[in-house]
Amino acid sequence: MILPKLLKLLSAFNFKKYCREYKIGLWEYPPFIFSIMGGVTSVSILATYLVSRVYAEPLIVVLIVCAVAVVFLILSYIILISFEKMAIVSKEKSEFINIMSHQLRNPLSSIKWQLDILMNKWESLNKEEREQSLSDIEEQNERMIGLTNDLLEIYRADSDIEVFQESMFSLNKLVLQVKNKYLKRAAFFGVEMEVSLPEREIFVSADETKINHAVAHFFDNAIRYSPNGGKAGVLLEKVDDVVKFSISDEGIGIPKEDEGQIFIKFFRGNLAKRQKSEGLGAGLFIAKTAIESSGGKVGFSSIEGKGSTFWFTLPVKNKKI
Amino acid sequence: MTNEKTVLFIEDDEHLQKVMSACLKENGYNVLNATDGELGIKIIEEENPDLILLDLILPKKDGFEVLEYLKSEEKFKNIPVVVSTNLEEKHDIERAMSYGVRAYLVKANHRPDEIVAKISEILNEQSVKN
Repeated sequence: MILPKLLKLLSAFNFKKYCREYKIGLWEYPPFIFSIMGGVTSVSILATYLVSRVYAEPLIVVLIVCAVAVVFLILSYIILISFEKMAIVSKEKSEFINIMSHQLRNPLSSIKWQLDILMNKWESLNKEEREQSLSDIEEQNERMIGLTNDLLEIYRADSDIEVFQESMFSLNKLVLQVKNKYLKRAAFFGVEMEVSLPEREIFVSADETKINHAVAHFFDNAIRYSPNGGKAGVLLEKVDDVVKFSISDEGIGIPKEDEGQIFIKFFRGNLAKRQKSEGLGAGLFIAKTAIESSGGKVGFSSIEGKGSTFWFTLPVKNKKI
Repeated sequence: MTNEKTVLFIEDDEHLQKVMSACLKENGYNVLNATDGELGIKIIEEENPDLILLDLILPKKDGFEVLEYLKSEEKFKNIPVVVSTNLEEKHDIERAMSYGVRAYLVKANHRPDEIVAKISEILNEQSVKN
């Protein structure tokens, strides 16, 4: 009876296990800090008592007590900081739920509404209307899959779960594929796309799916934040032993104060939110993670109100024939 | 059947806008569409609609800014507003209700015909009052 309870009590002191579970450091875990404080307090009181008994010098006793007080003060400060960090995590979680509720429920609502019309008014709809509704449902479904894929990518990046399938592929072909996929979207937003590729194919050795997603996120951003009638230019070039992809838009640009946060997950600048309410704020984080995991680098330059240029580099591999 | 009433639908999702507009038109309403809050306010000023169906998360000016504008304008402050959103948090609902919105409907929980029925109910009440 007593043994299981004792074991349960002891398991509460397995701080590392809980830290791994909550994804925080040992010194950010309040029960650990409280335990340390408890130990220090007990030892300090005992030591103070013993020392004062031996020396019986009031000055030394006072000094020891002062030192102990300082230690307690520092520990209390660490505890406060750790609580603050937990509060921030909790706030981020709450904000995340808010973002997700809108981003995932909008396509779901759209599918619900379209299905409702199809089911209740099937007879009165003509062939073209039915096909249009089904095509809209398919588009919304793809949007949902894209959003959930992004969430999975973020989870994997946060948890250091590597799903990396390296292969050698032509970046020229990949960029063309992505461009073709975004032609319809560019036309919808009234954005003209200009893609300039080198004559010779450039091969890289990386995770093709991840690089495809990264390039798609750059295309998507350039199109979404460009004004109607604007241009998005893509350039692929070989610079020394790397291949450089860059995409420029004539969009809203990035304010100076947002520059440091642009690759942080779920960050969306106020200007971006003002321009388009749709968006997880995850695309650039996912793109950066994908490029860096393939040994590349990512960066951007931007002028607020004029536009931005995002770029990435990847090491070039020579194709063996 | 024609109600000759004008409903302004402020919604940035083109698919939701398309479905709801078709349902409202089918029920005899004249429908105006705005894809952001700024355009919504412009249409309110020009067309003085009989009812506004309003999303809350919108580009340029969000739904709360539209509600704030309506409250501040004597000419438009009595236009009934139905909120159609996917925000379901208590503080969002309370904030919207504090502007006197007539109904707060969560898009994912309501079918288009239920939203149209609510709109008809409010517009009928309004007609009786006038």
